[in-house]
Amino acid sequence: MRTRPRLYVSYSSEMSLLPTWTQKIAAFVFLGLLAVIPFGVIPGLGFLADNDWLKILSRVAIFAIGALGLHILSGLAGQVSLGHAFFVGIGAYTAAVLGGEVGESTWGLGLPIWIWLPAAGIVAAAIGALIAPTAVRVRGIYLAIVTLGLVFIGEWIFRSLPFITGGAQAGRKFPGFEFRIWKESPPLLDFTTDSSWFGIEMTSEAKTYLLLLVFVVVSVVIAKNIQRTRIGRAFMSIRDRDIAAEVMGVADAKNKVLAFALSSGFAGITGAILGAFVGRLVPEGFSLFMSIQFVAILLIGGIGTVSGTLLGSAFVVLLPRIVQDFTGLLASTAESGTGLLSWVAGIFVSTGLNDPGIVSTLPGTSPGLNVGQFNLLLYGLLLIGFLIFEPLGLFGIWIRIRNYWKSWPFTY
Amino acid sequence: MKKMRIFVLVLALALIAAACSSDSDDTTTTVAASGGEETTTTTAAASGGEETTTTAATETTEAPAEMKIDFGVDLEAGTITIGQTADLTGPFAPLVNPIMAGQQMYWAWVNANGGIGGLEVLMETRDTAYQVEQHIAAYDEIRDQVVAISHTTGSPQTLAIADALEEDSMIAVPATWYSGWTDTNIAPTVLHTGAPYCLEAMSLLDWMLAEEVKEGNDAPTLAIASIPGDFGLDPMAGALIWAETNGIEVVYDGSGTIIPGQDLKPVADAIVASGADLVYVTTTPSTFSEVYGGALTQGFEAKWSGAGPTYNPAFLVSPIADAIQRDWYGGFYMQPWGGDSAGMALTMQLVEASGADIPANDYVGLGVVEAMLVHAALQKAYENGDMTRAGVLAAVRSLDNVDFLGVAPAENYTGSTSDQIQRAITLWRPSVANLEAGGSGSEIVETDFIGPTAESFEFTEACYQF
Repeated sequence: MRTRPRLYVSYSSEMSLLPTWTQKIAAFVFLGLLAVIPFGVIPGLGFLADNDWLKILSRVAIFAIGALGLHILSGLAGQVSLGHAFFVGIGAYTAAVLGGEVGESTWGLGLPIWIWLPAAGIVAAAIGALIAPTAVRVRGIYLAIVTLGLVFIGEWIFRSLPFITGGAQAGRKFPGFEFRIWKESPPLLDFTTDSSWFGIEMTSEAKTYLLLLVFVVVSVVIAKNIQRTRIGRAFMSIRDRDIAAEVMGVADAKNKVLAFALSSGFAGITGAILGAFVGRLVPEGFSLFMSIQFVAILLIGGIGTVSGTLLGSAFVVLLPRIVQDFTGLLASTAESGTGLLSWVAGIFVSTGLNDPGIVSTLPGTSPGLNVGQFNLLLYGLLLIGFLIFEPLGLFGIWIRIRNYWKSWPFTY
Repeated sequence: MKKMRIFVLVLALALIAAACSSDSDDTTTTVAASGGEETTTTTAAASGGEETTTTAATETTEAPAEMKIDFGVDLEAGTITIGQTADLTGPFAPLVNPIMAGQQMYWAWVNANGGIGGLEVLMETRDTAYQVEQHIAAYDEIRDQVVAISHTTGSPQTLAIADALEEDSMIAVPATWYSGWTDTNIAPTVLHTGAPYCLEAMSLLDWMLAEEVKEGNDAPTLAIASIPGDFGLDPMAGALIWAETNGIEVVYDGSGTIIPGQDLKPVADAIVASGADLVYVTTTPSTFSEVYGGALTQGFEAKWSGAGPTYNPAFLVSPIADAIQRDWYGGFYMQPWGGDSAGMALTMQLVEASGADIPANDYVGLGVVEAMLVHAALQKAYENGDMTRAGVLAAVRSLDNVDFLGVAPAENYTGSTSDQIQRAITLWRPSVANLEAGGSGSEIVETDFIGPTAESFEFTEACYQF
């Protein structure tokens, strides 16, 4: 009986992080696979160990951390926010000022990562908590507008403080992933250069990927723990009906402020990591588009679930690359071969100057959308499609697949 | 895996080369330049006729016995891959898409005529949407696949990858004319083509001043406004230097005040209120039309100009066509469409031969010029027997006279910052008649123009510094 799934004999076992053995094993195998990606040992997925793919996977990790923050605010506490990019920016510039080098016109204290990384989260969380009381007074679409204002105000502030941000359209350098005890001391762990770790040659991309993987795992554990404990239950009760929650003794305002602060803290950390990863950011980067990207991650992945948030991050970040590679593949199919496959590919891509097609591999000359335009179109269509046909997102699709196989061969 | 394959390939080739060259040293000769001591590198031969046009170098060069390669060159497949980080969907998309078209046509033509030593040149283009972060990601994606970057859109974007370019010893041709690209201290692998924004501003204002004087106004006033960042502030620096040198009063200084996506009426109002005779603006084409349109509706009349990318040829088919025809004094870093040169003839011939339905566009020629520069670099590297990225960089840094067949002024990539600076621009005026006659709408006034202020300005470092 004990081995039967969904049979819980105690409250704590039902509430545990990974309730079933299947989940425990699956999680560890999956994590193990993610951890060995840089070594190129997974059959069929060896290409992921290339530097360019490792960078994309690192980007997935960064966006996952930010999206987990928004998941706490929007997914759990039900507060719609378009202001996430503002807090990402706050975190990024906190890190830049504390950890960055002094430039000709920019401030920088050159402090080590163990100061600037937590500080980025703390400062963003503090500003989130400061702004939250205003946001707590409104709900739904009104809250979306209030937080939208935040993005615009933020962008203006970032542009107007060149000594912090480097100025509009110029930007500044960010501190890198280097662990040192104090400012000038030699780095104990350096993720910015290639070196040998335990006798294995590691590129900086591989090391950065592993570091970010650790950050994601920590973030997931924190997000999951928030979700399955008192705070999370309070958030969810507010999401489902805030008045009813307050009647039951859940402090509405306090919890909303807490949700804002936690979410902003995650966003701040994301900003600091993004800055360190990219190396240089301009103030215009923390725009409404970034906020929308985070919302899109939640919507496409499946709002209210950690797994969905992770799936969504992977999907949104990988989509442009997949479209790019897929278009390239179709173009070569259309060009090289004959037969039905080549014909179908030929309809989709335009490879010649006067060859009609939906997507053009020769931007500027051949008809059709270029890959970038096609990506934007696809992005929009996917958002609409998921909202209408699969509100639970990728996670919902996964649930359906799982349920189908659970009862297979029966359909009920 | 790929590196391993390349390594084995190089090793195998080295062995073959060693075996072949044991009897004579002559097989390793690269062709010496014909012009005596001065190394003259010609990118493409004069376009004598469709069939006979081949690159000069492919006609005369023998393949080096030994070829060093690292990224982007596959001797087995016979290909050279070059990358482009291009704004295909952002604010400069209307200008960058024709540039890409020009490059595609040029490389298709090079490939059809034997490529570079028989190697076919392939393009790997990524969209950057004029976003710094996306630009960095795009570069990261292709950096290990390519031997050179033949196009990178945008100053802040190119600056953001400058360190990575230097680390990779990757040459890059920027579609941006920030004066820092000539400053060898700022980005040593980024290659300028044409005069930088700040000198362009000086020459254009010199021209406009001369026109004002002709009309009897000896002391015109100047208003300036721009987008922030080096794209906007470099030309503004040039305009301010010009005003100071010529004793011209700056009645409005809106450097960095044009923010895309925000209300631009205050900028337009300020320009109108200043009553300036000359206005120098640098921003994206769409924001320029907002500022210009805002001033125009208030009945404001002046001579307007700005850095090249501020103007969009599509203005001539818009409601502001008549006004822009009257007000705009255009400058460009090369000859616009229809210019009198072998290079422009080649460009026009390529467009015609491609059969593509492309309207006459000044930026197609720019794509050809960018490709010509990379062609010259790759050709030289091929002759040197070193097509590694560092080899290509070394090759381009040995070229002191890259000839663009007259379509753009010849460039020098050797020596100090002041040796390399380009000052010449082409002056043109918008013309609906030219457009209707099948041209690009840019009526050439003078080619290879250097204004007196631009001529006398001592250029030792970037006009605008971060």
